Amino acid sequence: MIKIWCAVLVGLWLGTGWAAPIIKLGAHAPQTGSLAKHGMEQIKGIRVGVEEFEKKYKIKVDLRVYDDESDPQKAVAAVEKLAGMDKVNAIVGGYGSNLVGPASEAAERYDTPYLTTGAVDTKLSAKKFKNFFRLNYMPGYASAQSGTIKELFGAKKVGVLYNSLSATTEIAEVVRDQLVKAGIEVPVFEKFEKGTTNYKPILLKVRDAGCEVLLVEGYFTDYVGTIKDAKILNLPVKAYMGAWGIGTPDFVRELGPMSEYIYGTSIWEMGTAPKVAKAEEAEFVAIYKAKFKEEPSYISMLGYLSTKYMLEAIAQGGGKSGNYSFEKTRTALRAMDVVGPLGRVTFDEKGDPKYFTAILFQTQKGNQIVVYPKDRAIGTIQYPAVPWGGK
Amino acid sequence: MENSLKEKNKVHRRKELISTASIIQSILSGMLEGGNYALYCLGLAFVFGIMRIINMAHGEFLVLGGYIAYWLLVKWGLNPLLSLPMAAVIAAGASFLSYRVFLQRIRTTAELNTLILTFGIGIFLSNLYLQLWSADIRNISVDWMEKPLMFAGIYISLGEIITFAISFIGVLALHSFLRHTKMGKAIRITAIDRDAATLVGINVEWVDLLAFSIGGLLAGLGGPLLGMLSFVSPGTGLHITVKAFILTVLAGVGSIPGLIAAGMILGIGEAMTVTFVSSSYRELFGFALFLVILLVRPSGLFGKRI
Repeated sequence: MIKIWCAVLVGLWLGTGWAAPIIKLGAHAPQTGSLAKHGMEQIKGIRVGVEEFEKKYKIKVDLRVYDDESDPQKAVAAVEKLAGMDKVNAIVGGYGSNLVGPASEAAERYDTPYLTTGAVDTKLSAKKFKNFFRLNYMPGYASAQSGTIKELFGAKKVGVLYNSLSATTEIAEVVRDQLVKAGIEVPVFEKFEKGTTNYKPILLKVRDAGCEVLLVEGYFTDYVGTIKDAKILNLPVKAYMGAWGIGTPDFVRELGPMSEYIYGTSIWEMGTAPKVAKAEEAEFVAIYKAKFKEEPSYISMLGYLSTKYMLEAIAQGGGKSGNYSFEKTRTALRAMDVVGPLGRVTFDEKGDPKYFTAILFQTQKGNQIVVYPKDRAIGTIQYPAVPWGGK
Repeated sequence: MENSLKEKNKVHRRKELISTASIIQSILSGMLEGGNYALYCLGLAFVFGIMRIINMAHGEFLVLGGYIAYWLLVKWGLNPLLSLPMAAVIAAGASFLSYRVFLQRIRTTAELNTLILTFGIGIFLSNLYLQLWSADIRNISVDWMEKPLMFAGIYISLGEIITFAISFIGVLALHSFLRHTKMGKAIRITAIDRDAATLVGINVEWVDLLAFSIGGLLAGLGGPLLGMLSFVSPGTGLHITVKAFILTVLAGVGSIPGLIAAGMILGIGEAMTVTFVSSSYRELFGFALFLVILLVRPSGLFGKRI
């Protein structure tokens, strides 16, 4: 009887056809709470990443996903559970610097490699954690915004409104410094709290100061509020620019014509991958659309790529024997030098992406037309133009 | 010395930046926002005044109304103003069920129990919305309501005027209902003395159920308007509940008409804080006012028995 059971087990094991032992991959992201929308997109990308890796490398991946509820404490708990109890080989995910900060500290305590995509605060990598890696970070976004304002708009006065959260505060400060350095005046530099519903009093300051460009460093809800109130005030500016989460397909769907002409930064939009990565981009989009019946956002793409890079690093570190270790994974990540849909990806000694640059797009007829940097642009700007009329 | 000079220059620059038209515009926007606050808080204030239940699920009932209006607009193109009755009735139904299934069982126990239970109902509902309608932010966009009207350099949208009017009518209608109808009087008597109400033949259980459902109805009425002026999402409810609670305390328990005045004080105060100080002190103003009122006048600005 025992022999039969052994034969069955061996048969089952051989039947799976996996080339190496199972990789345990941990992921945490907000599935509920204020950041749930972004976290859900991220997890969808992660799932595609896992499936593609399994197909390509014939290595089974045991994906463990925890909802961090958009709460820093829950994010720490998720990482502790993944690293301490589930004993995963590595962790991906995390959205928002205020969540990823404490979560990455927990990953460091457990000595588990942690590759994130949704946290851009420069302070996160200042601690030089050996397990911390990320695909995007803030300076890449700030220079895309200030570069467009300076080179494409030629504006003289810019009003900056920003959400008080750490990442948006940091990008606002860096952009302001870059603008001032370029000789552009920033007469309005105003912080607002999360949950603000009446933006008119701060928008009036922008109007009174005669700003040509309104730059809002915030999130989806902040853009909806400021655009609606700017329309009511018929705010006389020449351009409206946002940071993250603006101009996405959902954004265009919800705001309709009020999303027209707005500028936003992104990491990736369909068609912006470098030539060598066009096929990979198209493949991901096709799989994602077939699986989820929707267009992938750049957050989904980030989720996918972080998973792909992490799993490849684990597998590469483990070699044919599948002897995975944290140290080998870290070494493989540090040695990585690839060109993917985001461009060239390598990590510096702090885990920051060395060559990361954001792209800047304008919504034109519902589509995101990349206009900056010039070498990645797929269209030209319509300026001056804001959805409510403006100047 | 140098620092103080810098500060002075900053203040001077700030004063220079603000025009009289902007101050008037800011006051007006605060006033209209205050009217919205009053409508958002009406159901919570009513339930708290009558039943002494702090309904922590109030915001979720309001958000439900917003979703109803959103889907009626998206699926059948129904104007959100026309969907107001349906949104209100469905939210009232959800409120009715919540009371019948959960709250009725613990109604006579400590007040804290109802607070915890309604908080739980709120969490359940927000997660239910998340499953049903995803985490996407829903904005009820009606072009003609968003178009600005201009009077002497001051801008206002038709949607804001309509919302303010609905808020005003809602408060007056509730006030009249409580004062001038038999049912309203029965509710007031029950709120004042349950034993006496029972003695005169009022079914207090039924009154409780009715009052809680009316609270849901009023919340449902605010949902479509919130969606039009701002947005709805599964997580919006708690923020609304907190704001509504501040306003209820500010107005004073039992003062329904006081909600409009208190809403305006809060709305204008917040707008002025943003205009003259900074937007980052806006929430602080609301909470500071809340604490001051609790200390100086615990019964609220217009507090009296219903």
